Amino acid sequence: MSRPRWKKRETARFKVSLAQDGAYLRHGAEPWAHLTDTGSIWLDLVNFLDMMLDMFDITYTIANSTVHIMSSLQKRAWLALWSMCPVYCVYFVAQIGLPYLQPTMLERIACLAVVASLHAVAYICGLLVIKRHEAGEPLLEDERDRAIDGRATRTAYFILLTGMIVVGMVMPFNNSGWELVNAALFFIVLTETARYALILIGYRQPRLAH
Amino acid sequence: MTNEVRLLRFLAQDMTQAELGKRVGLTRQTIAAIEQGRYSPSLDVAFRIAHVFGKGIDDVFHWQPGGDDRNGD
Repeated sequence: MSRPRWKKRETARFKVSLAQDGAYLRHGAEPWAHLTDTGSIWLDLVNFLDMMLDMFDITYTIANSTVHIMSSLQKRAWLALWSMCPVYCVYFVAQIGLPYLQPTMLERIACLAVVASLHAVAYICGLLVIKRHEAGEPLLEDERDRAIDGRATRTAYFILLTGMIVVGMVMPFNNSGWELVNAALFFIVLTETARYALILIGYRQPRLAH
Repeated sequence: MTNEVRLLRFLAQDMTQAELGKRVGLTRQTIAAIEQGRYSPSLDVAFRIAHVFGKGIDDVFHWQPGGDDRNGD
């Protein structure tokens, strides 16, 4: 991503607008107007700087910016991955050592509850931030997003199917109790991770047709 | 498949991607992907885009024989 070129301008103050194609940024005329409807931290920062410069009557233009604006689904996929993978990685690594400590049923349930809660809190907090950024967006999802989501979900379905066959039909012959629970949870997390990873890959495909 | 969406936007008083997206029911990210040739829209959307510019669909979208058709375009 190339940084915008900044230069001083004679005319009155203006704002960075997101209603653009990412090739360059248009300048609005209403100060303070875009402080809450941007879609990226970078543009939030630019608008914040603009607000500060407004206070001192300093004006500028921005040209040839190639700011990459993510779609709503893309942002949620990143959020889901970042909120889910770290906590469940710690959980599954802990499960390897946990049997040697001989925890009680209640301790195991508490451990799972803590992990699930951390995941939920991180996801909900991220979602609130995303929703704040998307407050002014007229449309959050369209046929391309649905196509990418559909393809990713179809592929992830087979991972879940395989996992459930392993957990429900193969493992019960040799394993029981928490091993089954953790194996099922592992395949669910793996499925979700694969789905969101495939969504992100879908947006980077050079060519996609409806 | 190639298209003239970016040019037609420019000719239509420099219509923004968001404006075009709003009129045809797409996000601006998808309009950007269409312009860059990274996404081939559905026939319905292609007709709607052409309608916004007052053009025929073959004035906006061009299909070239022998192109990459693995994704159906």
